[in-house]
Amino acid sequence: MKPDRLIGVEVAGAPGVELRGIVRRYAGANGDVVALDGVDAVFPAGTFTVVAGPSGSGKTTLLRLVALLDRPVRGHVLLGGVDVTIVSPRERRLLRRRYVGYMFQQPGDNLLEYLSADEHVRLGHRLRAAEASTNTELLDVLGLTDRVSHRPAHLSGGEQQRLAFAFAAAGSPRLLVADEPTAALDHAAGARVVEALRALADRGVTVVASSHDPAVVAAAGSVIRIVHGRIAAEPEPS
Amino acid sequence: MLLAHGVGPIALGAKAILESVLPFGVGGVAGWFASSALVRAVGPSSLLSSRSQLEGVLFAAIAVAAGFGCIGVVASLRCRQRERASFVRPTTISRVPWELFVLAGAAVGAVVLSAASGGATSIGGGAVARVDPVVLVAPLLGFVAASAAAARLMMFVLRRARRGGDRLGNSSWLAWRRLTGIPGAAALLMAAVALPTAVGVYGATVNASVHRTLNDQNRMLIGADVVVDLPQREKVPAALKNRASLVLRRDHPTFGGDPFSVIGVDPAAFAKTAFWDGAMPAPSMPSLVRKLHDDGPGAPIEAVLSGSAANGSTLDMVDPKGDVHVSVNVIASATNLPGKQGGYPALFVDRAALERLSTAGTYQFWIHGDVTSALGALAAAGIAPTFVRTADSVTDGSYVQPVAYTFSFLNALVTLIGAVAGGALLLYLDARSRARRVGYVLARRMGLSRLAHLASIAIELGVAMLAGLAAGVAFSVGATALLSSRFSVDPQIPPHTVLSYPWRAAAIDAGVLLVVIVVATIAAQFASERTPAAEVLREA
Repeated sequence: MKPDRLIGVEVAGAPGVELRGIVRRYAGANGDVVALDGVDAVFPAGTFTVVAGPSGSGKTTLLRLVALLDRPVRGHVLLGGVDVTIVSPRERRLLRRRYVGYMFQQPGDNLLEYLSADEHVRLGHRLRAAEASTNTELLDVLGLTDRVSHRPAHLSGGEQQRLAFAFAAAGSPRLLVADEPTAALDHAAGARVVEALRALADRGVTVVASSHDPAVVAAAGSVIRIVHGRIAAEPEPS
Repeated sequence: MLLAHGVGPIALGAKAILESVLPFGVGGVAGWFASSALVRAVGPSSLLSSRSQLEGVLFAAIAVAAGFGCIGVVASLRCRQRERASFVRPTTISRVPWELFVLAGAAVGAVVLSAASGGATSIGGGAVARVDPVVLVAPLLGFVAASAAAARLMMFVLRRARRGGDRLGNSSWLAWRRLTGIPGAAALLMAAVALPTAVGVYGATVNASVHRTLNDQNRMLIGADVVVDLPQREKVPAALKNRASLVLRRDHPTFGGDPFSVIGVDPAAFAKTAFWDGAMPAPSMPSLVRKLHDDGPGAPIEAVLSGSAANGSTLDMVDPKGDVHVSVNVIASATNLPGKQGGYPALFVDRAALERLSTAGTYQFWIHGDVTSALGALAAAGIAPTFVRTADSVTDGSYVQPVAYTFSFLNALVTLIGAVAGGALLLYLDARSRARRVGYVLARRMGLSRLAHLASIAIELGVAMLAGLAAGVAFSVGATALLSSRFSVDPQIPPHTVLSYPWRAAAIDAGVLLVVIVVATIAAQFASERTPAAEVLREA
């Protein structure tokens, strides 16, 4: 794979993600809070991995590191074999734009209130400099055909979550990171999202999601459990 | 979210600029038209030259471009900071509150303007009076910095006070929770009130003080409200009893070899009719003049000195009947005494003693009160003055008109800032609207009364806005204390600055603010009560 001219680093195919010795601390009112303490994890390329654990265990922090939204205090994050903890902020940003799709936990955090559903997907394609011809296809798969011209304020919570997924997945990212993708969805809508995540993984996209939903865990190829900022057990097949 | 999608800080800064194009463009055009209308209405002229209008367009363009620059830079920096917050330590300079830079700018501006202006222009010699620019520019920047610093302090206090308030009543507790829950919004509202209050009160103080000082200086120059020259000695008409006193003035004697004005007065009457402002520094003219008395022929003549002279100086006067050389006993002296015309120092003596020495000179009536009734009383008494001087004719002269324009423009600026503050209040109410509606529905179901909720809104708005009022008044008092020495447009003429506090204007401002708080409270309560509970609960 040729080095990306804009970014200057080489990322081969659908990149896998590897975390080595990750430590992440946050300054709190009563001293530092250790969110991740010496985490080693591998998310192989083209697989669907779920990160599971109780609330406050560090799942969101781990996902943000995988999605290059954060940087560890110690340790390394490798994306497709490239150590992204030592690249410049500009290169990291360009890597995110080209390769990474991210879904925040809160549906409202994923959407722009002034764009319609169709415009969100179109924006996602533009940001990744991808063809925009599959706008409605993605929305159709997620059951938003009748909502293409609606703005987020006119969508239900579940519809917003599905649109957020469509926005994150627009432009064919090679790594999709989703924080609780089915949290606000009913069974049927959640099943559509799970099916879409599975389909992406089948196409070779590396999918990493955090979830308590058994349906998501069941659809994943492997599960990583995290407790109190540490990996609880070896990845297990779901 | 856009950062997560790989959009960079510069692109987001450009996005912020593009979003501002329409409001800034409309604002720039509207501002240009408003400023042209203001100058036409207020002065100096209703005719605007094409060059001035073109320059106005240029400055509007510069202001709009500066606004774009600020928006773009701040947006980019904030996005960059957000993107890298986890990665890099904040630099030392990024931790410095930005208002300190504005304050530094105010101080630098004051120094630069002071050096450039060299103080106010003297009224004499055909020059035009103007307000010292330091008096206006430095405080405006200082008020911005002070308001921002007060907001930062308020946020600090509110964050730490969040845990408290458990002993408060329901309304107060609710209000305190709202204030401490989003301290930034409360602090912004406080600053939005503090800034126009500070500008308004300070502007009114400067305006009133400049005019009072100018008024006092003119009356000190003339000597009284009205001074008329008489063709000969006259008795004070009955209609002007207690309003006028007879004065004999000589402007060419020398005292100690230096040219002096000698003013012969009736000590009792003069103290009531000559001009004096109780705010001027002691000793007062009435207290000094009342000490004068005539010890009779041959005794040294007693005098109150306005100026300086060596001890034991002799008063020398030219008289058609023979030159006069007489010893003077200076019983008191002061810097500020009325009637010092021509810049010469003056000797105030008992008129009877002066008349005994020489009757050469000019008899005058020094009159307290308006000129129309004074001239009418003189005409009724058959007295025709040879010359009339009024202090108001000096004040109304064209060379002090720039002072009037300056403060008219300042009043317009205060109105504009007040409108912005009103906008800030509307934004505050709108931003909290959803939370307030949800809170109201839930609280009502838990037993909170409508009146208690209304009171909680009043307390919430009242605390923030009254804090702003207090802060604004404090800032204006501070600026006045620092700069009052520069309020005199002609420092060459005494008295120096005579402060006039705009109590009435400040009381009106406070009254208006209270009305705004009440109206905003009622409007917010009305909006909360009108909301269908089912809809709110569904959203929540």
